[in-house]
Amino acid sequence: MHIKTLTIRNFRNFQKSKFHFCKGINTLIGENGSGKTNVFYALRLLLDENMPRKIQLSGVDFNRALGDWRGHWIVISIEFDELVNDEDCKILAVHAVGDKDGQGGRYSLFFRPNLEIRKRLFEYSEQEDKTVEGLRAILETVTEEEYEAVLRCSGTGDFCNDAIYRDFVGDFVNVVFPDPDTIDRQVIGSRLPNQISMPNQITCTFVKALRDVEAELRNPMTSPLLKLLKTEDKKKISVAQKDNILGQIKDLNTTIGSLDEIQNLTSGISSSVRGAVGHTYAPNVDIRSEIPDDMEGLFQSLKLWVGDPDETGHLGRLDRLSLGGANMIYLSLRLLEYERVLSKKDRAAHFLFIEEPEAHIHTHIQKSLFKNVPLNKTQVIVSTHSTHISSASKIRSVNILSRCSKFAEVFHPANNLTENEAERIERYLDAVRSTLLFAKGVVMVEGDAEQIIIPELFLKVFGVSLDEMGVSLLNIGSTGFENLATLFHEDRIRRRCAILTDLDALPSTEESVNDAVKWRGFVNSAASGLERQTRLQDFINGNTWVELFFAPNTFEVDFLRAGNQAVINAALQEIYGRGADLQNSINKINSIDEAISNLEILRLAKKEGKGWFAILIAKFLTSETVIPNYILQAFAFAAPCLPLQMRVTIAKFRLESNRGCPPADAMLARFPDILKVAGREILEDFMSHFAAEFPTDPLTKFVSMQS
Amino acid sequence: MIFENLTEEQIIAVKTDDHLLLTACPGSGKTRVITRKIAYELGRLTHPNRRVIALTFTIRAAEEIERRLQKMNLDTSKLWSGNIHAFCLNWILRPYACFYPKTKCGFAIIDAVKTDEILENLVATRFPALKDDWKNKKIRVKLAQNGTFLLKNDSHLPVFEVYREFLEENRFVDFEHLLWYSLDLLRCFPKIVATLSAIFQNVLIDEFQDTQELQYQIIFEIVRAGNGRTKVCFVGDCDQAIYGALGGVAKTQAEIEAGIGAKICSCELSGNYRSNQRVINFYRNFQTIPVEITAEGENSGINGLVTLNNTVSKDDLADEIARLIQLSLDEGVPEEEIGILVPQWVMIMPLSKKLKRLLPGVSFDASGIAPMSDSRDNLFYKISRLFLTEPSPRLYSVRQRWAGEIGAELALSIAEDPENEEYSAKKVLKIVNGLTSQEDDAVAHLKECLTCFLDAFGITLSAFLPLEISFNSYFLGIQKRRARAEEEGETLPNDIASFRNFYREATGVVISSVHGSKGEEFETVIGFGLLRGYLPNWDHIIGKRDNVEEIEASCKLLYVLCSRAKNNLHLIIETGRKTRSGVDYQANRQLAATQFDYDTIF
Repeated sequence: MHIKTLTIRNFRNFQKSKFHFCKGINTLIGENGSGKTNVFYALRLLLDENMPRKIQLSGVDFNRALGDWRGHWIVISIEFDELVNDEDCKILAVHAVGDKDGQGGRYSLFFRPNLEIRKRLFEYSEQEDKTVEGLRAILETVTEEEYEAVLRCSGTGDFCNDAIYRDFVGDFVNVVFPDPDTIDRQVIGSRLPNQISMPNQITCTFVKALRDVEAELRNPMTSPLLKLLKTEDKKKISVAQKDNILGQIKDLNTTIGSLDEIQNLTSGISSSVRGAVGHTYAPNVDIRSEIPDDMEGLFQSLKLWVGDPDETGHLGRLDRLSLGGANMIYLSLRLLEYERVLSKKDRAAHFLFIEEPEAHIHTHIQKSLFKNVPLNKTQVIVSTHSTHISSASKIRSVNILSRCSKFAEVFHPANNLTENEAERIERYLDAVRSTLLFAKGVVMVEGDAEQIIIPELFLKVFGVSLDEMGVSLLNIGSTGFENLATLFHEDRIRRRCAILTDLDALPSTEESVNDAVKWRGFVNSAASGLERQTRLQDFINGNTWVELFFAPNTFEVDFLRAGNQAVINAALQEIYGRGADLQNSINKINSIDEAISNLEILRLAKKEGKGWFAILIAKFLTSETVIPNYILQAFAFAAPCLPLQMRVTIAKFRLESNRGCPPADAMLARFPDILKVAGREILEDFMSHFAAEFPTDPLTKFVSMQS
Repeated sequence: MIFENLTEEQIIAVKTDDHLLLTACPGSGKTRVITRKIAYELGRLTHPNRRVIALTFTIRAAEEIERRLQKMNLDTSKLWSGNIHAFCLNWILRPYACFYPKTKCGFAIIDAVKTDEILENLVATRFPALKDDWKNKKIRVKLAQNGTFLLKNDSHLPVFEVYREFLEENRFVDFEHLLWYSLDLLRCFPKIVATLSAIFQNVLIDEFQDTQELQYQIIFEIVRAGNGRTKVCFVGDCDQAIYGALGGVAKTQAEIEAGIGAKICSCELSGNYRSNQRVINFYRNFQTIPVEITAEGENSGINGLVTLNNTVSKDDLADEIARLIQLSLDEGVPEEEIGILVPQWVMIMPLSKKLKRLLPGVSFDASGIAPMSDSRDNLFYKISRLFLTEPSPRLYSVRQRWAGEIGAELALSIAEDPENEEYSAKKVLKIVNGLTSQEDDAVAHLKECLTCFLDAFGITLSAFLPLEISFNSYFLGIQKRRARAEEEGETLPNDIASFRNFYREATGVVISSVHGSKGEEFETVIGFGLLRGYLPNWDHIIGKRDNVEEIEASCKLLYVLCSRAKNNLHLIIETGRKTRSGVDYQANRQLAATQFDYDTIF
């Protein structure tokens, strides 16, 4: 039995989201604030025994995009798979939430207006003279107290579906509400059978990202150490052993209590008290040793001591450890508790939710933990915002959370891919540990040269890194873009992906080349360039998330053609030092005849090796360097709309690199004022001023391409 | 502890791992064996998720079993006990209603009183020609195992068809349809029946001889799907099958084996720990299967009295009964060990009045005729029961149980969570104990209490149809029972004190109907009205092609009646009773034909 989907409607930062999970280990990827913790909270509301039995939700739990929540429902629904009655431990779970046939099952939480309100809404919607205003008047009287949280099982309804939501919750626009008495339970589900609670049928362990490990370990209710000790107690420590220990402690307590010094002190205190309040009112005083003389108390007195791995022999208390180290200990203890105690319980399924684990613990989770627990019954969901988690590359078990202003979006990168396609991508991601899944936009390139020069180019020209712009540059190392680009699709990751590739048009004339073999090579490249263009255009056809951007020739040629002779000249100095060769090459590069200059740059790239040549060029990039148009366009497509604040930062950078030019100086002079006020209108105004003043500046071009 | 004080044959019955058909003769310690068997099965559950199911004929029997188990300090949380209707509701219809077309948009269970009311109204408004027919014969809804109506007369079919339409339109489910829908659900969805059989380790059916066809089929479906994992245990006695009129059938071993698709091991509890051999020898005359019964209890050697009086006139009947009571009392028999069993419940009231006058020093317990006892399944009956009993140490756990059931049922009927603290037993008892009424009239008194009770939960009756229906049908039931008594020329009391008396802890000489005496035992049993037309009822005689049914009904009733006695059995065939048409009632034929060396008393 495992969780197949989680559907969330109107809950916290989810408007209507569906998560897909598979057997075994799953990853929830998302930036901070994208709602990973809320996903866990939603799951735990339905599954965790340790959550309060009475589910407490309120108006603030509604998604803000809804506007006024009154009358609306929160729906959290878990769909199970492989829920079959083949083992005793599963039968009540099947009885409670199973389908009428097949292996599915569903278990849902509804936070909705109570029956009375729902009836009132229905009755109003039956009236001839109903209006939206009339409905609003009713809704405005609804309070949180008139809401109920109910659990239902086996329903079929997908409440992310707007039609179902409208039919079963209500149509707030046309004022149509269903009759709660006759509503179809097949969609909503039935009440859970008496005396059966789902959390009792499974185990649910939540390992949270902890801030105060010490407190957690000290608290007898939550300490995983204590829980582990108690099971050890039940399993192994014999009655005789216990009696022996407890007997010794009692003796010890008596011995301490009867020490002469202690007795002396006791009588001293007694007489002092008597002296103060007199015999009549003086309480009797005694000093007793209270080393715990029961197993529970004894266990609580046991403390975990830890030492640094480099410093053998030295151990200290946990509070001496760094926060990171303490966190690791805590996580390990929780996992051990799970492994030794919880996974041994004969339940229908075990769910383990781990929030933001340290990267190195993650290896432990996979390598050692799952060797010992029945993985066929354990489903793990790990949340992370780190790219270092190896399972993040398993796109079939990944859900990506993306933050939008009032709600989050969920992507399933392997949705509708064949096993083969998914596997190929996984292998690739595994190898390059790519940040692909975390980026807001992606630009794919075909070789090292692009990968080396482009980030430097943007840094030099715009003063910001690609990371800051939210774009990931991905070197495919070939022109087989389709395998990975297929991730970006309406069904999967709804983020933009620009493919940057060469069209390989003829760089020169047959005459200038003057070498039959070489010329045939150029001709063949040009032909395959055209072929590739057709192939890729077919591939992206109908997919608005992927776009093609072609270098008319090759990257190096088009870089030169953009007007970057100066950069190449500078680089040539490095290659040749002084002499005839240098002058010869410079002449060719600066030749008016493109047939000559193109051939020369290709020769240089070949001579130095494309990668090394690129490194050389990167060194001489300046703010004056021209970004070839097709590259600018590709980034304008892939980068999400740059925030105003960032555009202003880039503008300032551009102005500073144009210092000395009067309009730039004039605008720079306004900067302190702008930063003081920083009102949106003033910034917008500044930017349009910039655009008018510098129509050919790369920033102006870039922004206009974006819009 | 499980095998403590059990005989060899009882231990074998408890320990049997196979499907079991257990014939339990009267007084053979049936309830004890059932209790021990449940305890035994609970002790060997293969997983905490599995359950033992005990299906009893009455709610009272289920309560008795739970009470005994609790006395043994056993955890009964893995036992589910109750009657078949509660079973179907709890395990089949409620959890799976959403899959079944007739119930997926909600449903309300209606009790027998409401069912009768609907049918009567239908006949009165749409089938006036059938009105008399309907009134004279007790026509009930009965469904065959394919869901079709079982008819006494084909002319009734249109009525039932309209009735069914009415039920479906209002999403009502009566007791028969509850069974039929449950069976249909199990048949439609093999997965559901497989899951249930995986949960049930053992299904025990008490009084199987009174089980009706639909119930058998439901049990068969589950046991068959279990493929040996769900064991079944039928307990009963064919000779005590006295609910034939309600559709009860005692299936044979072969029929049960065909039903469950497996062999069933047959066992008998023939030792009798109740009666002396003389009483046994007498009632064995009414056996349909000649099972040997041996007295083995402490009374086995005693020589009690077995008398037959067929000369006393109906006018002197009370005096004669008073004399017999006094006789037993003089011999040191305690009051509550004397049982007067009557063939028809309407006779209880006038008799008890006369006896109280004749024996002013003796108390009588005639709780079986409480005016509200037609609606034992009704929620408001259950609440009333709390209002009519006093909190006392003896009733503590049973009142707790009632209150728990009430809370859960109340929550369910207003679409609240039954696990909600607001509807806990504690809350229910707190409210009940804090409410009272000054009304002396019982109906008015109860109405006031029940209304205040609902108020305390913030429930408006009119907002919840199922609740309103059961409220009305509860009071309609009381009214009808009173009307029926009046037809027979009797008046039932209507003051709140008398209502309370029905629930007092049973004290005194018991006056009960034969049907109501099932499972009971008395030192001295006095049976009267043993007249053809009373016992058995005319229904078994008039309009029948032969006398097979009369003989069977008559034997079984006499068997039940006589086997209640431990030592003394006094039978009276009084003279002077006349039918409506003025003809003298005749003695019960089977009794009259019995040759026995009766004792004579002076």
